[in-house]
Amino acid sequence: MNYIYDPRKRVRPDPTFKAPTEAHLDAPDVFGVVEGWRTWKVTEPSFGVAPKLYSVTDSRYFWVPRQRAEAACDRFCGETPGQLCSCGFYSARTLEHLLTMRYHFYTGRGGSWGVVGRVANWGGVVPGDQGWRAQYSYPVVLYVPFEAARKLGPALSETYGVPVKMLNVLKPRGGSRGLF
Amino acid sequence: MDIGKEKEKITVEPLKDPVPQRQPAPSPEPQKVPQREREKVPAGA
Repeated sequence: MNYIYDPRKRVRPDPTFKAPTEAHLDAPDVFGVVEGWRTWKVTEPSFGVAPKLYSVTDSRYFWVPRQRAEAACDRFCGETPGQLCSCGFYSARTLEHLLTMRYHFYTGRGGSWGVVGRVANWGGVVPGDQGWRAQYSYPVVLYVPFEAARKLGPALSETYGVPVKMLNVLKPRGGSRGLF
Repeated sequence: MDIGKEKEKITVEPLKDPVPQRQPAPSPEPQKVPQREREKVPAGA
């Protein structure tokens, strides 16, 4: 289609127009959450104590039930996750990639089990080819080993308010089955 | 954890709160307590 110039239809500049400032441009890049996969260590509940999701790399840290997990930088990089730092909550883009890193474990030795799950990430997020580093995180769904399903499933689901399913992480292609 | 080659940081804003809130327990229906009948006072007491 040919465009015929008509000076009468020329758009005149709006005298009330103000150029956007940086504050106007401070909009989120993504609405929603980005989901990744990660592993936790869970100890079987005993004496009525609710099970907790513990970090597999820092045994002192656990994810508080029904509260967003907020990353903190022990190097005080300023903004977590820092672009030039390594802080933040890590999660893998795929379950297959998570399992290649061997964070999970299957034994119930000592009453501890490896639990994998999908997490929602939001706030500041550093995307990687294989995963994410995030400022805020919370589980979306948890997968427990078959043998731990009865002991952990209902208690974890009640405590964290998320569905818990069974998944044999040694055979991830076997599929999963909703249980609770 | 290896997340591969990192890209520029982005800001992600959830459309709803990703943290499930505990549903408040339904309050029990208030039971009707029968009003005590006014004690009859004998005349001239």
